[in-house]
Amino acid sequence: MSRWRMWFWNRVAPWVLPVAVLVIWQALGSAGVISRRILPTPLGVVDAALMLARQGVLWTYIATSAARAFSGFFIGATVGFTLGTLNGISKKASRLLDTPIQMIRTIPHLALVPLVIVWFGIGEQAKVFLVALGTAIPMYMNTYFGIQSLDPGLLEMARVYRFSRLKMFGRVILPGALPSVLSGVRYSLGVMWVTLIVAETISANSGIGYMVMNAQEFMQMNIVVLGVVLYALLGKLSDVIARVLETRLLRWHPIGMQAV
Amino acid sequence: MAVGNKGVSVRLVGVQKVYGQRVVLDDLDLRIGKGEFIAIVGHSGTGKSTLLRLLAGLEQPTRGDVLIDDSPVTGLTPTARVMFQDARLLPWLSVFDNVAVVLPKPDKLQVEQALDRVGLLEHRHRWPAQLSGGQRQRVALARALVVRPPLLLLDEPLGALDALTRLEMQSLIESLWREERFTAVLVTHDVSEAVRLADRVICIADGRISLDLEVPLPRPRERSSSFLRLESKVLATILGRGSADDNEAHRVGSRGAAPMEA
Ligand SMILES: Nc1ncnc2c1ncn2[C@@H]1O[C@H](COP(=O)(O)OP(=O)(O)OP(=O)(O)O)[C@@H](O)[C@H]1O
Ligand SMILES: [Mg+2]
Repeated sequence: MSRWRMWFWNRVAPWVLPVAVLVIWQALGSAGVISRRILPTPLGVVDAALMLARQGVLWTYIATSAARAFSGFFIGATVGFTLGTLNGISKKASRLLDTPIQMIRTIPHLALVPLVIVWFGIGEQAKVFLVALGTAIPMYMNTYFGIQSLDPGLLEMARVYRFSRLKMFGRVILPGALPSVLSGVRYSLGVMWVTLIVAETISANSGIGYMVMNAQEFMQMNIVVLGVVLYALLGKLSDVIARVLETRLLRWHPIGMQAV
Repeated sequence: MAVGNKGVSVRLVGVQKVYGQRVVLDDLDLRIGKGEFIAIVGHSGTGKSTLLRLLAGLEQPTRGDVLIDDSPVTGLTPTARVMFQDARLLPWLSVFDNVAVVLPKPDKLQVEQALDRVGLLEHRHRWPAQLSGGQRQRVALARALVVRPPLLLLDEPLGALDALTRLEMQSLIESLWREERFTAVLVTHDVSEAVRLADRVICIADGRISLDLEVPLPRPRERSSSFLRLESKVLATILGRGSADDNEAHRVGSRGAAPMEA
């Protein structure tokens, strides 16, 4: 009995309200209380998804958006991590580079959208560039901070034991900075989707953003909401990936991860 | 790497160490024989750790020379290994890997022997976070000894441990030292520990050596009356009383050494 109760409160209870909202929403939509021109019903959204999937365009859109997001993330994360590492281990590099990077950091990268469109046009490069710029900054910050806050006692120990430069980096600096680097990854993935949504909404000829803007023109509200749901699911997916990375790579960590 | 079973000799000649305006060590002379066990005691901030860091080559003297086996130290002392008050294990490596990582070429047998000698072989797959403070210090000891260093420098390695664990660790260090005959320099706040382990106890005060006392007792040492007499002599020096006033010093001494008598 009490075990059944525990199962209910742990597993079922968190879903009660969301499911109830969906059911009520569907009922109001079916009864005609909410106009479909304003908000489609949940089943209407599922219908739209099935239709687009049958036409084959749904996967193309998702793949296009994901490719933009992850190639931008990959470039941005690599640049941010490299600069953060460089500045973390070299005093000279950080003297030279940290202040300019901190200055760039104060500019909201989305404010650059008009400029980026002028530079790159409305093609793929503009979107990838914006995502890369947006993700590089948190990766840089977290990597640099992670290395700076390494335990100096461990660094001294490594010196006493004459670790080679390679061993110093691979066995002390990198693993020590990893918790911070991974929170950078998680944060950057969030920035990645937000940036992509904004960039795709402004201009695109494929992808989820294109699908949404197109549907909006023809007042196909169910497809518009489908786009929102897809963004949410993709965002959730990258969060799950980040979490799996953290639990796999930080098994040694006594408390687990701290949030950003 | 210069390793071997025999200890090295150490000599400090007119060593001075200045930090900014502060003269921490001044005109210090000290000889340590091959395989000798030295304990260094003294008030907080008198430069005990500084002396150890000079021997390790982590710091260079402002003046004077540090000689290891009659050759001056420049840069890190290749023959020395250091144990600190905190174990300084890499939290992301297992117990086994924490010892293996200091070897230029990892050697499973060598690592397992080192862990076995400190009694931690069965815990070799654990993370450092899963060990007690005493177990962590034993891993640090295994790591320091795995290359059989000729000079072992210990900076209050047992300071953070409870009294019982500390006694166990003292026996362990003593027996390993008797097997390996490396030269050992132990900095400690615990005068009983110094008298129990060292061939010579050295007090540092005002940047100089204020006492250099032989401990001619057989090992393993019991808290005999001659043990207690040596202990109070050291305490009297630290507390700045003449060693003539034995009774008074002894009273203070037994209070100071209270954790050991519990
Ligand atoms: N890197 C440094 N820069 C400036 N001053 C230092 C430095 N290291 C040590 N000192 C000073 O030198 C003096 C001696 O320090 P040291 O750490 O050797 O003392 P200690 O005898 O080991 O003390 P404790 O028993 O508390 O460990 C202290 O006054 C300390 O403030
Ligand atoms: Mg000290």
